[in-house]
Amino acid sequence: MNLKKMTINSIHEGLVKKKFSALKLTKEYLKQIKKQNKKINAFITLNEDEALYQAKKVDEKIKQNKKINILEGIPFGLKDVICTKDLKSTGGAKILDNYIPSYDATVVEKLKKAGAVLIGKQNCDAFGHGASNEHSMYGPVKNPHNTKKVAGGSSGGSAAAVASNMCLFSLGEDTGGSIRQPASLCGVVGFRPSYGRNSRYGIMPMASSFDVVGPIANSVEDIAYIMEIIAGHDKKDSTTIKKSVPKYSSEIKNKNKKLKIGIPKEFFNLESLELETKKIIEKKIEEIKKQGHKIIDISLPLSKYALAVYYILVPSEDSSNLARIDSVRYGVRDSEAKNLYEVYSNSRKNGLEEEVKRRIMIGTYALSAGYFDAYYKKAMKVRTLIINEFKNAFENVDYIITPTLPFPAFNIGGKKDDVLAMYLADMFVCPPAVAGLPAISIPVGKTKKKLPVGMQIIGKQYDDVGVLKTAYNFENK
Amino acid sequence: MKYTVIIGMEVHVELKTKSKMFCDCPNNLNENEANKNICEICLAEPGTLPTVNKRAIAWTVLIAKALKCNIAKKSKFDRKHYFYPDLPKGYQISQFDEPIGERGLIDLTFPLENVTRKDGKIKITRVHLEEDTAKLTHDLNNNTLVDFNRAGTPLVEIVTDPDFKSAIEAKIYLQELQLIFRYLGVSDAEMEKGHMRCEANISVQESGKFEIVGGIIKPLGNYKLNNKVELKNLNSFKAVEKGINFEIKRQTELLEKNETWIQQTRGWNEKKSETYLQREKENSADYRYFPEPDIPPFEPENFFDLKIGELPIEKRNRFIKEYSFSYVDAKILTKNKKWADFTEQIMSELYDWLESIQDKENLNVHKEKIARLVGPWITGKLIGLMAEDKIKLKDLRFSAENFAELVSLIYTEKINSTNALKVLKEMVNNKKDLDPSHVMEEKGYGQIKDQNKIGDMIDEVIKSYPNQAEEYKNGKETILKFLIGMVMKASEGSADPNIVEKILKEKLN
Repeated sequence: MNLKKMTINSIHEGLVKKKFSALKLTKEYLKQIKKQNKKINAFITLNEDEALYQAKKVDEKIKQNKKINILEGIPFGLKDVICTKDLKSTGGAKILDNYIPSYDATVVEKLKKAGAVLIGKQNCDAFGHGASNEHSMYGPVKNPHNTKKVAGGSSGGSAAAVASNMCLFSLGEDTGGSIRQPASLCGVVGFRPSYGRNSRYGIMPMASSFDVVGPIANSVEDIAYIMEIIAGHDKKDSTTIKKSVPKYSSEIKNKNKKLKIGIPKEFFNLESLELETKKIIEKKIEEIKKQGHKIIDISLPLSKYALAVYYILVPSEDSSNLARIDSVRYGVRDSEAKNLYEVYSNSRKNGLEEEVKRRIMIGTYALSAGYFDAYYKKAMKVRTLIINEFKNAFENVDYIITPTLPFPAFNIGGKKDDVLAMYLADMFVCPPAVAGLPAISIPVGKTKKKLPVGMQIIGKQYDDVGVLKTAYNFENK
Repeated sequence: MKYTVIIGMEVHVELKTKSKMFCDCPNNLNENEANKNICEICLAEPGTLPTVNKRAIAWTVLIAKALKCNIAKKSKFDRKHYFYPDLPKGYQISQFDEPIGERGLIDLTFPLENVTRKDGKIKITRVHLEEDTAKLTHDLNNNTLVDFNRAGTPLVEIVTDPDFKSAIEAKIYLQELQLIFRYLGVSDAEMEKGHMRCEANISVQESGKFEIVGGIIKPLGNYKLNNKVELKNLNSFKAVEKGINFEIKRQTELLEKNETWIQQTRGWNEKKSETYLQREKENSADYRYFPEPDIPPFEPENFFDLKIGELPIEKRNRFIKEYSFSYVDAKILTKNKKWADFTEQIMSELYDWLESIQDKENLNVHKEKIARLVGPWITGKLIGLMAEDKIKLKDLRFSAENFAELVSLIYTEKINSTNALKVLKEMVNNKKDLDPSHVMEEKGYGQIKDQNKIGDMIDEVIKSYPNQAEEYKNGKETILKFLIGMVMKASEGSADPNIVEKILKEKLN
C-alpha cells in the first residue's frame, strides 16, 4: 500500500471496491506512525484501539454492502488543542497532561459521525503559542523534509503528520497563521476558513475572535471534502454564521473564470522576504498570468500593523481564555502547594510554557485599568481599519496572493531566542487572520535544499468556496 | 455637628429560568445534591463556549422596564476577571459599560414607618445580567468543597444611586423589589435562600457639606468626603435594617471622636449584632473587563416578548382608590398576587350583592363601609386563622363567593362577629367549599331574633340575678347593660342585642 499516493477519493474507491479494508488501511497508518513518529514527534497521544475498532465497523458496513460516506474509514489526526471525549487532550501543555475531556468538539463530533477514523492527537506549540513548534512541552515537531528544521507552528504536528503520511488529513487551529504556516513549511495544503464558518466549540481557545479550526491535507480536493463535513452553523458557538454549506468538492471543479489577482507590493518588498522564496512565488504568478488571469499590483499599507494589532488583541483574549487553566477542576495540580495561591501559582508556573506565560503577561497588562484604552481599544480600531482596507482591495481584485512565509523552514533553535524574528514568520499569514478572511496555503515549489515553499491565497469574507476553487486551479498537479 | 446618612444599594437576584444562563443545564435553585446539574460548560472545560439564555435577557428587560429604566439599544456581555475556586472560568460573564437597563426609578412610600419623609423616588443607576458563581463549603477536615450547581445561574444586578436616607428606607426598597420580582414571576427572591442578596454602601457625612450630582456624591468647598463602607452578609430584611443602623451609629460615633476610616468592606455578624471589617481597599480591584468575544453584541428589545402587568405599587394604589381599603390592608392584600386576585374576586361578589339590595342611593357609602369590613376580615381574621393552622392560600377550599357571603351576613348583622369567626374557622379547616349560611344554620350561629326564645332566656337571667333586676326597677338604668350582657352570654352571643334590650325593658317595666 503506497500511503504517499492516497487521497480521500482513492481511499474511498479502494474501500468500496474492496481493494483493501479499512482495518488494513488504519493498520498501515499506525505502522507508519510507529516508524516515523520517533523521528518527527508529530503525535502526543495515539488512539490505536479505538481507531482499529472504528475501522472494523466500517468494514462491517462494506461487507453488508451498505453505502459508506466519503470520509468513512479515513484515518485522521487532530491538533491536541481539539477536545476529544475520553481521549487525553493536552493542548501541548503539561498542565493538561492528565486532562481527559468529557465531551467532543463539534468538528470532532461531525467527523466521527461521518465515519472518519481518529488515529491520534497531534503535537503543537502549547495552547497554540508559537510559530515553530518549539514551544510544545512535548518536544519540538521536526520537519519531515529535513529533521533539523522546524515544522512550523503552532499546528506543526498536524502538518508534519500529513507530510509524512502518518494520517491522511489533520485538523489544525489557526489564530494568526497556525494552519497555513506549518502547512507551507511541510509542503502540504492548509486552509484557514472564514471566521465563524466552522464551530470553535471544543477548540481550546487562544483568541476567541481570531481562532478558526481548519483542515490540513495533501490536496485542495481533500480539503474540500473535509470542509463539507465540518463547516456550518453550531448552536453551541454563537459566533458561527448561519450561511448554508456549499458542496465544496464539486464547486471547486466548476469551470474557473478569468480572475483578477492582487499582488500586494508591501509583502513582496519586505526586507525579510528571502530571495529564493520570492522567486518561487513570482514564477508561480507568471504561470497564473499565462493561464489568462489578470495580475494587478495593489497596496495594503495598513497590513504592516497587523502583527502589532495581533500582539495586543490575541494576548488580551488569550490571558482571559487561559484563566480557567487553574488546576482546580482538572489539570495537573502542584502537590506541594500549601494554600490556594500556591495551587494557582505553582501549578501554572510548572505547567505552562514560557511563550504562554509571555502572552498571558502581555495580555494582562494590556487589559489593565488605565491601559485598556491605549492598547486594546486602539488595537480594535486599527483592526477595523485593516478589515476595511481588505474590503476596499477586494473591490478591484478577486483574490490576493502572497508568499505564505518570508522564508522556508529554519533550523530548530535558530530563532527560538529571538522572539521578534520568530514573530516575523507570521508576517504574511497574520493580516487575513486579523480580518477574519479565508486563506489557504498551497505548496508551489521547493528550494535548492529541497525545502517546500507555500503560496497563500486570500479571499473576501465568506468566499471560502472561491478560495478553495482558485487554489484547486492553481495547485501543482 | 449634624450628620446626613447616605446609602446606595446593590441587589443581586437569581432568575428562576428553566435552564442556566450560558448552557442547557437545569437551573434548579433548590437542588440539594451537590454537582448534579453540571456540564462541561459549567465546569469551564477548555474549549467550551457560552450561549445565551434568551429568556434571561427577556426577564432582565422586564425587570429594567418595571424599574422604568432606559433599555439599551445595543448591549453586550463583558468578562470580569479574578481567580477564585467558585469562578470556574477565571472570569465572570457580566456586563460592564453597556448594561441592559440604565437610569431608572422606583417610587417608594413610607406612610407608616418612622422616617423623615412619606415617600421617596429612588434612582436606579443600572440593571445588568450576569452569571452566578459556584458555592463553596468547608468540611471538618479543612477541605474546601465546590458545588457547581449554582455556577451559571442567571443573576440580575440592580444598583441604585445613593438616594436612601435611612435603614428603614433601604429595607422597604428591598421588600418592594422582592414584591416586584414575584409579581413579574422572575424569581422567588427569598433572601434567606440567597435568591436575593444585597450590599449596602453607607457613608455618614456632615449635613450640608456635599451634593449628589448624577448619582455621584460631591463635596462642597473644602469638605473632604468620608469614605463609604460596603456592608455585606445581609441575609434578611431584619439584618439589612439592623446592619445599616449599626453602621450609621458606628460611623457617627467615629466622626464625633474626630476619627475617619478608609474605604472598606464590612460584614454583618447576626449573632453579635455588629459589623466587622472584612477588607480594606486603598484602590478598587482591577477586574480587567473587556468585551466577551464569544457572544456577539445584541439588541435587548429583540428578546423582549412580554408584558409588564400591574406592578405592586399600582395595585396597592388601586386597592386604596377603587375599593377604599386602608393603606395597611391594601399593603397586605397586595403582598401576593394570588391574595390580591382572591380579594378582587371577593369584592366583585360583594359589589354584585350590594347592587342587588335596595339601597341604591347609598351604594357608594355601602361600598366603602364594606371594604373597611372586608379588609380586616381578610388581613386579620382569615390570615390569622390560616397562620394558626399553617394553611396556605392554595389549600383553601372555600370560594371567594362563599367568603363574600360570610361578609354580607356580618354586614347585615345576620351573624355577630364572634360566631362569624367560628364559621370562618370551619370554612378554613374544611376540605369542602362550605356555604357559611349552612354552617350558621346547622350550628345555630345565626342571630336569634325569636322573641319567645329570647324571652325565655331573659326570664332565666332575671331569676338568676334578682337583686340587679330590682335595682333597675328602682331606677338604676346603668345596670341594664349588665343584664343584656348576661343574656348575650346565655345565648352564646347569638341573640340580637337590640331585641334583647327591647324585651328586657318590657319585662322589667
